[in-house]
Amino acid sequence: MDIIFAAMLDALSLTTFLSVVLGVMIGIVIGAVPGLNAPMAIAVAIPLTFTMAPLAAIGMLVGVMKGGGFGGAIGAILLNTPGEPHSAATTLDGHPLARGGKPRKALQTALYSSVAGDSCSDLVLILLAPTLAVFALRAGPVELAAILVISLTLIASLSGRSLTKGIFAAALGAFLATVGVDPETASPRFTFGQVELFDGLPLAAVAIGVLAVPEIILRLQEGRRHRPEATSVVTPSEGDDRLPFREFLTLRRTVFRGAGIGTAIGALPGLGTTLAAFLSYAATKRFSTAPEKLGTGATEGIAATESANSAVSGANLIPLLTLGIPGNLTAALLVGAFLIHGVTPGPLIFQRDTSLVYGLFAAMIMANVMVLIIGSLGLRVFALIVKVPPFVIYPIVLLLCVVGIYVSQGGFFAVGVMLTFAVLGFFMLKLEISIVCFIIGLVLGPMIELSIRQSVILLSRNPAAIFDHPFALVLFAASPFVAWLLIRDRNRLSDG
Amino acid sequence: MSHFSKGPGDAAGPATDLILGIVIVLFSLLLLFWIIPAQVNDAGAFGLPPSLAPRALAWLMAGLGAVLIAGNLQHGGDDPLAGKLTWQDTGHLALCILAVVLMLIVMGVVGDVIGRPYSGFWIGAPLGLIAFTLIHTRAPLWAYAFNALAAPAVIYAGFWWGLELPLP
Repeated sequence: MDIIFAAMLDALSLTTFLSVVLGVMIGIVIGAVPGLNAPMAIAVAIPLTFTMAPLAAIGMLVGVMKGGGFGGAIGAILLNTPGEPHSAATTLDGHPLARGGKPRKALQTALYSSVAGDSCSDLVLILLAPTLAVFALRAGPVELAAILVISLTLIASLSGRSLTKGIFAAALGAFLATVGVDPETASPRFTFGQVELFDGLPLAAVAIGVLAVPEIILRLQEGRRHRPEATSVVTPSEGDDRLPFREFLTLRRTVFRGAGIGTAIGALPGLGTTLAAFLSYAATKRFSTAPEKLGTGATEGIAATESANSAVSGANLIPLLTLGIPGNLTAALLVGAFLIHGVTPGPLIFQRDTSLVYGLFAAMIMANVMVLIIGSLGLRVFALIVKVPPFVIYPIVLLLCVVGIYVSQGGFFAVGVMLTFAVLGFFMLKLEISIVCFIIGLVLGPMIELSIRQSVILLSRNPAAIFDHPFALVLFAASPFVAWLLIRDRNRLSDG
Repeated sequence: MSHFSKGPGDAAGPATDLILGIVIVLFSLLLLFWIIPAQVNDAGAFGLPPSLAPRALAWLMAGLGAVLIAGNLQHGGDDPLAGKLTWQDTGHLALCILAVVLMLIVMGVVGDVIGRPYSGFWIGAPLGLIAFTLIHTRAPLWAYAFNALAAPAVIYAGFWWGLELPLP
């Protein structure tokens, strides 16, 4: 208990506080820029955390994640341009309300709902994760292999339109994860004599290369075609409307429903924010007393989608912290950040890095409060970001990527890796090969390899010993059924 | 409806996913018969050899490449799930990468020649930003000035004083 209390105090230190504030601001700003989104903001922010203490670094990235969630709503509401697929649900009511002369009300509804949904899921995470980690610690390599198999089956739903390409992306990511020293024999694999590769591919360089740089290159190509027309941009100064707290309280059922849906979906790897946002919207339409108003600028619609998609982010850390399995792209990038700071996510984190994990919980709550405060105070300023011309933003973000990787990874080698993966990422983007599956394959690859190798060693002398692992057997048996369900409904479930 | 060269001004080419499938299969074979044997040493392994996972994944990728080829041939090169890639895309990508590489070279060379700390950044970054802006669009003059002067200054200040990270 003392450790938990000390960790909470650590999170309240000035350094961590300022890191979280900076992260929230970066997240809102980048999330609000049309064409950029929260995962890209995290990828760009990772190099900035290299010199920070682990808690300050992770706190900053959590701030970016939460800020980016609200930032995405700004572009969706004012510009009708969702930065991420899940923000498309917010545009359904957000933009009509803004166009109807109430942009501030739309943004405030999004902000309050987002923070409320996020806080609910964080609370579930804080209450549930330590207990689940105790159970996860009892799992051996066989159980872990089974959990990974079913998680991968769920993550396959992120594969976009082509399942074949999605599996290929995950396989390629897992293959590239084998670069470096073999964990069992300590012999180098695919290092080509380069000492820099002995620790594996630099994850930050790969993530920025494959995720952020190709998107910017694409935006550079689109040029003026992507520039929003002045007539379609709405600014809060146009309307003197506000959302009274009493009015927001009338949305509490919608918000809690959205938070519940988002938390449940976020706790399962792979299902994603888009499904949560649209399911919550559909549920609200079903239970609403005035369903005909949804889609015409109803605050209920904004609250439903924003509370649900924000709730996913906190809940996504449940499989990450208890099993070490990232459920989506943001969580996969956070794994990279954890590893960079010498922390391995998984059930042991509650024993080895107790102060860090409880500090993280405190930082998450702090980030929610900061999103609320910074978002409320800077609503007009952040709304102006959507008006900044793209020919100013994209060149600067590209330079930031290059400089960030150079300074954090110590030289041109990492920049070379980043550019190589930028080429790969660009082709993947154009050929509709899932980058999400690639990153998750890259992050999960070593864990899958190790657990399978350990399982084989354990079971090699007596294959019948698999029957001593009933939990694993159930999961292995359920995997084909889950796969069949997902393939059937993949288009509906897919984030891409 | 995907052909590698379907951009305006391009000649018609073979289906993108057919080429992608062939590239994946060839890449996997290259891994299986050349790179993995040359780069992974299985000697002295306890349990499963270190090359098992890379081999298994390479075989999986080869199989998926074959599935892509078969699927594309089945649809007669008109696969609705195929991506879209044009020669213009490839040219644009090459241009952007070239601009970044040139910026880095300028940073390195200038840094060596002048021999003053961060001189490479101060010369290379504005040139790089001007090049990126030029690639994006014909922006107004103030945008070039802002990107060339204000942006590097803010980035420098942020990294050096804010994060205490030395720039190239």
